[in-house]
Amino acid sequence: MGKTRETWGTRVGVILAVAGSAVGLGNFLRFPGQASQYGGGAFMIPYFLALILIAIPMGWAEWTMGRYGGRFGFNSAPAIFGVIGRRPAWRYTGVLGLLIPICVYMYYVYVEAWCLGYAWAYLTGDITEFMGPDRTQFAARSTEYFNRFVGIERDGLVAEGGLLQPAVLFWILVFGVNFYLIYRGLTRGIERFCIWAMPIMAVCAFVVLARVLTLGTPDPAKPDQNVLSGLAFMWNPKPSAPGLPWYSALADGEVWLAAAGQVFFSLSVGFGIIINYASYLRRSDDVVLSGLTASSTNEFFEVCLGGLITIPAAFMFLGVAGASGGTFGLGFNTLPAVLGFMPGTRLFGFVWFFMLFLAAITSSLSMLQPAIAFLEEGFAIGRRASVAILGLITALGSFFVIYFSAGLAALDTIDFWVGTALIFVLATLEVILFGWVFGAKRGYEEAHRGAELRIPRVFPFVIKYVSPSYLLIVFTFWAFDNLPGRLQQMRTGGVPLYTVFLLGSVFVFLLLLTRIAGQRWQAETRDAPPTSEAAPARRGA
Amino acid sequence: MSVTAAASLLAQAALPAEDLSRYQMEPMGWIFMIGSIGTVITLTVFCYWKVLTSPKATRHMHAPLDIDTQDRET
Repeated sequence: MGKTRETWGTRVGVILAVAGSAVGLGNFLRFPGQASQYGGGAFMIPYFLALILIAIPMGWAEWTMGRYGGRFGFNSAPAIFGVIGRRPAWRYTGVLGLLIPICVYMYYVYVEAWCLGYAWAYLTGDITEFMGPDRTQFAARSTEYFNRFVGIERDGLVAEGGLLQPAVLFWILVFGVNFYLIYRGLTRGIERFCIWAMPIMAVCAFVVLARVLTLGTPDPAKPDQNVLSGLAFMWNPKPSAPGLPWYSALADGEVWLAAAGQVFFSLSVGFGIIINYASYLRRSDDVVLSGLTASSTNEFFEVCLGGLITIPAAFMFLGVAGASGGTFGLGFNTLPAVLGFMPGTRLFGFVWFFMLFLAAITSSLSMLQPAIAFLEEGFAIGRRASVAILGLITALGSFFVIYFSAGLAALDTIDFWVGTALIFVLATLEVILFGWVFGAKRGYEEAHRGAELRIPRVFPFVIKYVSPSYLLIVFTFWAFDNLPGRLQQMRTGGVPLYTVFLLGSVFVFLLLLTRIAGQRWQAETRDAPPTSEAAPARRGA
Repeated sequence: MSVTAAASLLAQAALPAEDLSRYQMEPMGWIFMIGSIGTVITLTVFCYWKVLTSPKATRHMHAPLDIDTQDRET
């Protein structure tokens, strides 16, 4: 092809791109919900332990593996796994590094469209008009608005409203913006967008935070629902049962599982995205400080902003019942009701949902790049063709998600099997590949190439023993809790079963593509093991 | 399903309010909140300070953003 190898334009650019990939709806909606439900302030002890023992070490491992693979001119997980694992079998495990971002994108882009649709609805006043003036009906009306918006009552293109439904129109718009940015390339598309979007997102979050923290006692008739009581609901450590000391929460295994799961999903490890992004670094670019900076940026949005906004605001207006619920429940049912109570509803509603949209799009962009890289390097096709192929695949999958909207069954099924279960699997494979196949000590030395910060010497031990053990324990308990119910759901057939067939088809298709691409790489001897640590890249820098 | 669960929780919000006076910030709540936020802010500031003041900083400028990197098909 003779084209120049892509690299990041600036160091801050790659940090913000990786951080943008990690910062998503979960930072503002899932984290506060999990923390307040599982021990309040006590949740932060297992949370930070999991951050130190799983997430940050795994992040460094992914950054290191990605940069290492980039030395051979590879940017996709199958190719990089093949180089590191030195066996074709590892290439096939790397397929998960394509399957996960592609399939998660199929529903995530739709959720992203909701965020933009809600921002627009606040800007135009459509949602405030729908909510009406009766404050006692805000909770019910916000739920009704959401159900209509996404067509939750029955299947059909948003309950047969057709292409002119706002959710579908915004999906088309958001889908187009994602692919336009991807088409522009790594530097001119993803990096440039993230350099602008991340600061704007932070500004939006600060605006909403300032509003929430200055609400005082919003309803004088309810003096117990004020800023401090909202913060107390979120941050006071909660015992596992009334009458016990607060640290009894730490004896509850669910608290540890919830904290490990939250950290793990929040930092986007096990997605195949960091490996892809890091592969565009040069061989002596720092990965230790950059990786830690990206992780800390994600934590800043999660703990410092998400931890102070969502639950305190919900508690102030709706009490305990309003401050509970999952990601979508908090985001699209509870918060619109809360915003309805808040002075400046339209302004703050727009700012909040626009911020969520930015958080979502910086993540969705990162889900497309691994597959684009795979198609380009596996089949020697250009950007235009790879964007067209990926656009077709993801559009079909996303349409499937939108069409089967009853109870959000398709979305929920993909989120469970791919967005949760397979991420555990890929993360475990990655940590085994890095710690045991590549070698923990070798990986430690490789990570320090060009490093501007030293990783503690305990890292090889942690990545080899602690991280995989921690992951396997969490995964086992998670599977024990969740798999029986899901398998039972499969037996009843219907949309969950169709969705699993869809996922299986994409998986098989990617396996076949990887086989073809692998034969090509082998013929070119591009994925041969390096003869020395100084093995040159076969292509580009 | 989280959405339907949230809908039922919201419906509960319309029920007679429980006694919320017990939700007042406790010393341990302040410690966890300030400790968590302080730790994260300190780490974030340290990282960005190191990144932005690194003597190698200029070496990380691989290419100005306005140069077409030819990473698209022409």
